[in-house]
Amino acid sequence: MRLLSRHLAAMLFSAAVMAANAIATAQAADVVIVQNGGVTQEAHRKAMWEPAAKALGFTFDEDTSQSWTEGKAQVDSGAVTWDIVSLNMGEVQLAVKADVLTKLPSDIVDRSDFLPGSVNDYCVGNTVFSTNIAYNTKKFGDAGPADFAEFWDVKKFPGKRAMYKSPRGNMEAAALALGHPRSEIYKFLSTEEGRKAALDKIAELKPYAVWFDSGAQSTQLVKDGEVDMIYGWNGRIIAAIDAGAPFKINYKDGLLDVDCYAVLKDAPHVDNAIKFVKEISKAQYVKDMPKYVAYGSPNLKANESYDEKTLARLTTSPQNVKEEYMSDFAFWGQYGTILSEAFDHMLASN
Amino acid sequence: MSASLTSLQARRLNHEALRRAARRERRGLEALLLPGIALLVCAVLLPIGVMFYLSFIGEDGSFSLENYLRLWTTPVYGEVFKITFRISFFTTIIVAAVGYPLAFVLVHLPGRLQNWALLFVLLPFWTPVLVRTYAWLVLLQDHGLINDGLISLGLISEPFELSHNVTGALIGMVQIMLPFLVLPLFSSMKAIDQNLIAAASNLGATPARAFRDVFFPLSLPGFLAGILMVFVLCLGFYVTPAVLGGGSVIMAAMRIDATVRLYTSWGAASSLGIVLLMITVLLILVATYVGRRAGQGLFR
Repeated sequence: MRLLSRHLAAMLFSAAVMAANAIATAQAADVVIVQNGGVTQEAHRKAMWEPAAKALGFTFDEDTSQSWTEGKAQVDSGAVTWDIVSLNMGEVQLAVKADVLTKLPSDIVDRSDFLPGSVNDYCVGNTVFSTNIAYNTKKFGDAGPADFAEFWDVKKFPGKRAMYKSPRGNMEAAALALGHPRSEIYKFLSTEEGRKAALDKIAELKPYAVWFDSGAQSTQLVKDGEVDMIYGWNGRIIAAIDAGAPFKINYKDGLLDVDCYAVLKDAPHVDNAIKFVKEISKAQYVKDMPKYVAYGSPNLKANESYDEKTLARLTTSPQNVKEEYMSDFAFWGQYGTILSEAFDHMLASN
Repeated sequence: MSASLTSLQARRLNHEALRRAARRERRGLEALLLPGIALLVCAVLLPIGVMFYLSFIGEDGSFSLENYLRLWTTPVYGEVFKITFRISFFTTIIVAAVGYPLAFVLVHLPGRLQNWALLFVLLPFWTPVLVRTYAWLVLLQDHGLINDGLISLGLISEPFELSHNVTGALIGMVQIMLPFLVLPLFSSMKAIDQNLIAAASNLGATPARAFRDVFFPLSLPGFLAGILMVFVLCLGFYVTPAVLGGGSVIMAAMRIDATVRLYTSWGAASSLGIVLLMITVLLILVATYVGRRAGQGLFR
């Protein structure tokens, strides 16, 4: 989901410039919404923001940001120009701890319509993506790695593997490769020995892995045939398949993850923002998202209107979602930071 | 006697006016500096000051040394600094080794040709770093132009591992950094009086000796300035090692970015920035000192 992270200095500078621009424009619109740019933002604008704004009689402004910390910078400096930001569900706990989000009313959406875990007191899920194994069908036919034990089996499946340069997803995959069942993953990783064993397991793949930093990079690696396998984001893999890459996604043991909308603390239009989040989360809008991008909404009522072809592409379709499991956001809230440091250390040391 | 007296008196006569004029001129010059100073204070000194202050603020918002203690006790940070300096060092060495002969040839080309050659040095400057980085990927990756070309010619059967490793990161960084060395070096070489080399030959020096004892020492200030600039710019590299390095090349800038996302306080990332800045300043001071000593040695 991440586009390439930018140089920090450039990030801060552009944040300052954007903030200055936003001050000029924020007053004009009824609500200001921020997404992470590219094809995702375009999909959200066309499927949800524009029709929802029309229904509410709102005008909206949009901005682009790769990180919730830009919103934090606004809250910390007391110059909040954004209302709604999109962040990863795993970052919500951190953002709440940093006191930058507004608590949402409990009736903002009907949680029973949504994928379990995709709505909480501060954030309403807007996109579901999954991290899945995919493999080159020219090299392996239809018999690519069936599970993570096989993904780790470099004798049976020789070749390079693209993996996300982050502990997220890889820790879970390593736990599965070590033979732990899906239901036990986070219990196993909550122990010090478990985390160490998982990191050691990941280290085994270092000679065979190409680590990607951004979604765009993962698409490029698959599209150019630089890797024979990938453990990456479904929408990015489908983008490469749509561009002609002979790859097939294996949904078994895929890791579901959610991006969500939150309202910044001290946002200039808090009431409008809450109304807008409520409106754009409705099935009547989110059902159109797959027209523009191969991602679906956690609002599962949208599934009712899809045909077979659309469902096959969506990680949220009933047949795909039953093979997958949900990321434990509390686990990542607690261990995300130390695991990021331990993971980079594992990569950097020989 | 009387003449000198009159001139003394004359000087005293317009003494005040001259002093006033001098003061006016100096103030005018100082005023010209103001925009630059204001920019420096607002865009560099203040932010660094704030960053320095923030680096002593802990997660709970009070004064704390926890950010620095973390850098000391968590092994990843030392490792990342080591990689950052090692990669920057090797990039700088290669840039120096490639850049010096290049600038030397450039400066000795006849006028028209020189302009064209300079244009080719400058050309990459006008292309964004990200574009150039991905262009290198197109060339270097396993199914890139170089490997596919060599394989189709039957020269190799397995692709060379040119990308997604340290080699790839170095190739990309060297190409991007080259103009930063070549341009200051070129202008410093251009300023060398060619008569000095002729004079050295006239005094019996071989071309090699004339280069070693005359040309090289005179080009040294520009060379060192270029080397230092390249090294310092390398320390902050992000995109190129991220894309071409394949994951194992973790630079300080990447870790700072990750730290901003992972800690609720700005202090965590600020302390990383401060440590990087301190080490860099220290290195520059040492390099300047050593460079000056070496320069004096050469002229002795």
